[in-house]
Amino acid sequence: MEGLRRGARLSRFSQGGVSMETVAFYSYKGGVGRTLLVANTAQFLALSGRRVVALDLDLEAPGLHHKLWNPTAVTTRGAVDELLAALEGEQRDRSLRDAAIEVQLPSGSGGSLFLIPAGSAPSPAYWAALERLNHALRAHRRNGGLPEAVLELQARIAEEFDPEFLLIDSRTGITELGGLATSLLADRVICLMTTSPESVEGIRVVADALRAAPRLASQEPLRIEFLLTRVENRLVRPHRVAEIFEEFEGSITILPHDPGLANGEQVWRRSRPHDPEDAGMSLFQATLGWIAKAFPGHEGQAAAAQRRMWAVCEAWLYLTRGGSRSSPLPNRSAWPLGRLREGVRFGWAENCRQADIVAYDLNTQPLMIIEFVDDDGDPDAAAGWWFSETQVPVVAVFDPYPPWRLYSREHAPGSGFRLSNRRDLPLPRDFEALPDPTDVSVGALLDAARRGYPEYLRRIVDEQPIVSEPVADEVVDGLACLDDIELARQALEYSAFGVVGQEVNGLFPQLFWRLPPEASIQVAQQLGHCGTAVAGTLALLAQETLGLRYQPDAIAEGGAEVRDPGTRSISFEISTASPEMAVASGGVLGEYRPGTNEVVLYSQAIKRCAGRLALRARHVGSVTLIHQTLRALARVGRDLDGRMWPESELTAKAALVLEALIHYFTHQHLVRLRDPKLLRAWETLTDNRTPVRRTWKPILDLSAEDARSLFMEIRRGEELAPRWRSLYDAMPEQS
Amino acid sequence: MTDTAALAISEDELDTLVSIAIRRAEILDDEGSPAADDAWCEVSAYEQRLAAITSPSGIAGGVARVGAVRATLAAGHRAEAEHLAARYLAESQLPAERRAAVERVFQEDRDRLARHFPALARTGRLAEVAKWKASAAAQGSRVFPRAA
Amino acid sequence: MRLMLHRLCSMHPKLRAYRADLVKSGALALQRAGHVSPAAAVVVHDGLETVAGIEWLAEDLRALELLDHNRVTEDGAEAVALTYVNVKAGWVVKRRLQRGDHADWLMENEDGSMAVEVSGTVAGDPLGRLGEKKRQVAECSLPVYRLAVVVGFERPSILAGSV
Repeated sequence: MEGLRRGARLSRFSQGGVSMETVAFYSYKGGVGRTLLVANTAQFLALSGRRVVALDLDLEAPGLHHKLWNPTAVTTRGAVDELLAALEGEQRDRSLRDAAIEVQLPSGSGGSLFLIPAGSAPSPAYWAALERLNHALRAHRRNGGLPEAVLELQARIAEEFDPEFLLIDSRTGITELGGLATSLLADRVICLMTTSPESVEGIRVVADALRAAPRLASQEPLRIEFLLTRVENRLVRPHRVAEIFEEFEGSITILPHDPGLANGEQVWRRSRPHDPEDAGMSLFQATLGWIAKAFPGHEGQAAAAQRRMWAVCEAWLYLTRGGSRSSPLPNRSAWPLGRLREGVRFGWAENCRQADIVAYDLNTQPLMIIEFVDDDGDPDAAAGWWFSETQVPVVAVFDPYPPWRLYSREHAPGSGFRLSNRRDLPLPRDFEALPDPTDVSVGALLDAARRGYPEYLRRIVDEQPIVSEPVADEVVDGLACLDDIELARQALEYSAFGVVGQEVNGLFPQLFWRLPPEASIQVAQQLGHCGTAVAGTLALLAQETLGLRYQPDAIAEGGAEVRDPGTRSISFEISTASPEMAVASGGVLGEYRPGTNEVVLYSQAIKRCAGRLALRARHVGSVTLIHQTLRALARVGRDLDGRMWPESELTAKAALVLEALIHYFTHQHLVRLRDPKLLRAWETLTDNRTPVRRTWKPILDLSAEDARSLFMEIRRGEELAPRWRSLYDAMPEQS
Repeated sequence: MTDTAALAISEDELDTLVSIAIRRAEILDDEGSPAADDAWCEVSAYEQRLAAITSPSGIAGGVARVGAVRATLAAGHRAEAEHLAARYLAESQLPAERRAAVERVFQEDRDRLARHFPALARTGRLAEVAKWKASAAAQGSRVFPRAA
Repeated sequence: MRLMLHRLCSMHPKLRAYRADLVKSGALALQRAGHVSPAAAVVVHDGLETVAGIEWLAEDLRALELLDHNRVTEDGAEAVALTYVNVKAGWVVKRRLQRGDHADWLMENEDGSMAVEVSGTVAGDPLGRLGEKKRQVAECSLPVYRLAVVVGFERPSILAGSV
């Protein structure tokens, strides 16, 4: 830092004993982050309890109002008008406060921040005023010129606002006003540059000029500081950074580059905190660190300011990126920048409160208030204030570390508010789709899906525990209730992706059997069978229920490849053939066709049967699908030594026992699924079969191991063990 | 017009010329025209010529000298006006009333500036600014342009 | 007393550059107020009242459409006043003074020098204006005679006061 004499008493602008330090921010080239740095510095100082005025003297390209204030609000006067009034000798009964905008700060910050914008830019009136100013500068030299006019403005600011700091956003390049803002008005100049040669050279020339420029007799020598901004990872161009460091004799601070900030217009930004390539340098942290060092004092308040700014930054990033970076939520659109505002005050006089961020609906009505409450604050009290004094439906109170505390106004009349267990912030779609945006229970999300917001199915699926963990019953039961085929299909699709390899033990296998079979079969046809969730689900069914391995087209043990139509994957089909045709083809509700390895469901028959038995067609269809799939797996599943169903025909009785066993295994699987509706449908169906088909009931008394053992012996076509003889003999000869 | 030719202009001619120039400059001033500054430069030039050919103790010479300083200030050339004033005040024959008139010209100028820039005047820095501008104008090479 | 405005040039040779403007303005100011040449004017000089006849060459009133009305009044007043002081006491314009001198003209005759402040009024109180102008010319610190002259056009008058 040049020209600084530590401990020296600086002769700053004094007015009635007040010492105002004027700091000008200058850059030779644009796009270096100068205006944003002015805004951040102003906010930080004000939050730290200082009195601050920020002045936009970048008259030809004003932008400070975008950073510090709501740019859609109207302002009629600014720096241009005040400079013009001084030059034209207008009677100035008007206070400078007419040209200033107070930037709202959280209650209790102790500081103040006023913005004097350039003017009413970009209105036509502003450009006309600027032209008149340029004309006035040429017109009457004897009435003083720009030096007197800017000094007059500075003196008025000191008189009327009594600030501790006047921060000036000065014009880039070489202009008279830029020269005056730096050499004449300022006590300290912050020169920003990037690593580009023109930027560095420009700053070098300007700094030399500033050092040589005359000062007013009562002014201390000008202090000049240098900032190198938008520095990419230092490892990428280490020599260039080192060169610049050496050129400025080490007295230069580096601020890193954040590509996400490049075209942003908001104050609270920081670079990627979890990015391993970030090299530990966070732009926001670096910025705050530089501000705290460059403007020392008020340490306690400065630390609190830093915590607040950090927290607001976190929230802002979350809202504008549609979720946290570490757990992105796909298909959730972020809040548009135009529907978010920072620093909005509500209430009147003594009973007012500042929201750090407000999210609005399309009619500019507040939907959600976000407030940072420090350690000493009471989040519940804060939420209570917002609900009692405003109509906002949702309040989020946060600490520096999420999760946020989310409060919702109850819908019941006369009720207060409730704390939600939702740990993320609602996004715009949530306010449209969910009656209570803070309620993201499975039921609420399913309801939203049914009402035309299918993307919430994705959320249910995505937010579940990872694949290897058991899936919560609530989620499965909730999703399994979906009747709409398209929704059911989407739910299956969402739960199918993200599944790794064949280790399926989660949502998809359960939903595949419990959702309407039309949806399951559509997904099966869509996904195919190799390495997909469908194949995995069948493999799981084969293994857990039958004790077999489902490995279509696998090479048999011993190296001999078994070529058999049954080595093809099981495929699924829904047939709309009439029930009579279904019977004629050998099935009733569905069948397994060994020749094509196809499981076919007869939808017309299923519908008629369901109607007759007062069951729901989808449940009848699901149990049929399970039953026929088990028949298929019994045929094509491989046992531990890789063998499939023998070529030889079974005896009629053996076939009957096998059929009974398939019934047994169907029953076992339905029990495992724990879906009472499916179980009831199955029992009703089997109770209404011909008496012969009821022969499978005695097998129910077998244990799973015994059932499998019997099953294997039937498959092998061997002489049955004596313990099965009585069972076998009890079976009728024909079905 | 060459310097020689200019010097050869009589006092009567200069009286006429300065009268025309004053009328023009005042009209342009009243209209707020940017040409007013240059018009006052012309007035200053004629007043200085009159001062050069008239005695400081005479009415015409006194009027011309004060007029030259005033016109130069009106043209916005404060440093030059101060230089002229110093020269004229150094003339021993210049009457006290004219000396006082010269001082009044600068005081009126300061008062006018103070009316334009009252807050700056209250800081006491108005005079510093004039010196600053003189230093800045005298400075050799500079980077930032300066209109005045 | 005959005040012939069209003779201004011969009275004041140093006015040659813009005397035409003054003379024309004088004529227009009088004609604008509805007068024709010659117009009788009341003259009150330091309290002494006389009468004068103002004569001028007629001008086309349409010229007023192109001219600033206030400037016509002021220039017209100067034409009348300068004619008056010349006729009255042979005062001749030496040069114009700057506003900071608190007078418009520096004049000369065999008696010495005089600073003259001139003003014109169309419809107002000439006497009140004279007081104002006398206070103004009193501030002229030149060691010369000082005179304020106010010319009225609605009812032609020339009010003059020495300081």
